[in-house]
Amino acid sequence: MRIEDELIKFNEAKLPENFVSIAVRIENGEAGHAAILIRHIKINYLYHFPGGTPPEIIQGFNEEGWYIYKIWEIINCEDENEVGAFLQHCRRVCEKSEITYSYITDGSKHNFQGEFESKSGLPELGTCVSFCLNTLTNSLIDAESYFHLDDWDDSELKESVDKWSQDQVKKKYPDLDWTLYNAFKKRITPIEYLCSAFLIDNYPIRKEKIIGVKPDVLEVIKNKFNN
Amino acid sequence: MLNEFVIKINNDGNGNDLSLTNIPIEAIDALNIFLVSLKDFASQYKKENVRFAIKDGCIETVMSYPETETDIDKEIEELLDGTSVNNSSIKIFKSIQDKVKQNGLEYSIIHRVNGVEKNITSIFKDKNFSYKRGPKKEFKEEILFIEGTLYDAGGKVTSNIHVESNNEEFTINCTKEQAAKVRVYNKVYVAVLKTSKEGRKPHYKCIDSYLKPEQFEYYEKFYKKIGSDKSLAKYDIIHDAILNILNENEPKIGKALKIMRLYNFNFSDRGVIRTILISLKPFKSDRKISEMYQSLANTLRAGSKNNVI
Repeated sequence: MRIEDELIKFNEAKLPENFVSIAVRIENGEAGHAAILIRHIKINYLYHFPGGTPPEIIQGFNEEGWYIYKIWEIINCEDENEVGAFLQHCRRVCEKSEITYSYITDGSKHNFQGEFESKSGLPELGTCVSFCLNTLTNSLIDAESYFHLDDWDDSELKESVDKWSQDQVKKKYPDLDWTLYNAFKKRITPIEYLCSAFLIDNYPIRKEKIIGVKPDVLEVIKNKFNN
Repeated sequence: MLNEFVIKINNDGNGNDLSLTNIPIEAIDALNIFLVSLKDFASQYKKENVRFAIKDGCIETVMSYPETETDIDKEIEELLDGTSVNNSSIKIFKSIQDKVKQNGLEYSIIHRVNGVEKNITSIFKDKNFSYKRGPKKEFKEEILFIEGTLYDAGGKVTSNIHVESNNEEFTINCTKEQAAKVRVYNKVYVAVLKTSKEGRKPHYKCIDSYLKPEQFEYYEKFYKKIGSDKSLAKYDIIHDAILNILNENEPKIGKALKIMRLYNFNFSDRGVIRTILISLKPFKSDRKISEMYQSLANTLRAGSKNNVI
């Protein structure tokens, strides 16, 4: 019941004038792309890493209902200043990020200056999900990590995307330590990222918790996007 | 036709009929209250249009007024349904009610409007007319920067400092440690929390003190700049200030503490608090900062929806 009420299709419901949310774009009935949807004083901002182009914030974001999201209650949605400060942090990240698409999630973060702070020694590499996670992790005051990353592995990689992304990385970082790269290769899927929005009391979030809410989240998506 | 508000004393406690020729002593008291109460009530309106009567049959106190005096009807209706905010009228009706609720005599109360009679005895017996509070007077809290001359400091139980600034005297509560730092008849530079409420003397509490005037001016200017900036750029100012502190060869955490102290209140801008907290997160376990960091985090947490930040 709670998941159905709180998982909102874009522009589906009247919502607060200010909020930060965990958002995914639904492609062919599945969560295909991760983003952070911010509403600040009634204006929507989509903060995301498209993959092939640098991260961006789309101000005045609007679309025809392909995004679904859940308010991230770590940021008080009744306080425009708190949401505004988060938005400003995202702007600092966008100015400085040099992320290259890769199936790497190593617990790194974008520090308060918006700069990438590597945890593994690798350069700024990641997916649309890991880019969002790096930003959210830095905004958590009570926790150091968002996910318990050891619970994830590289079993859900898409082979063609993996090959394309490695080619990009080779061009940009010809001297990269590929042993290190392979050690942190893993994929957290957009649907898992969306499920995490329901688990704000459990940082770092375990995969088993995600598995617990995932069927209900999938069911709500199915219902909302089949009608 | 006149409209009427009627209070009848029907029987004594034993069921015996009462009349103007047969008034027990307790009925005199009730009659007195009813007459005075209705007189006070009527005095709020055009007195010349209102008449009173004491009628026989039982002991009947009657206030009558023309049908055109709709204000009186409206007020009585609002008193009966509990929507009146006129505490004078509520007080009058409470006096009548207190008497009617007492055991001993039997009463009935009638409101007659445009010939229609409404028995309202049960309203007087069953519900309580209660005073209405006006808008709650809220405390106003703000940070002030005071530069002045210290002319007294101390206190055994409650410590405070007395500062004169621009011909105004301020008694500022502070800790004993803060009081011990300052010297009488010298200049002092302090940031204070001013708490004020209409009709009450303001209360001042010392938040921080500054040794040098340039320090005082820097934090005053900084605080006012953030407060007056309505754009999101103010969070960059906070961010840059912390960054400059951390980029110093030997980061002076004391400077960061001075910024934190100015925003550790439930009325502080939560965006500023969050920006400070994420900026100083790598240092949150530092001995010099950890206590203040936790205090600021608790302030942010107290205003969060789920107690998580």
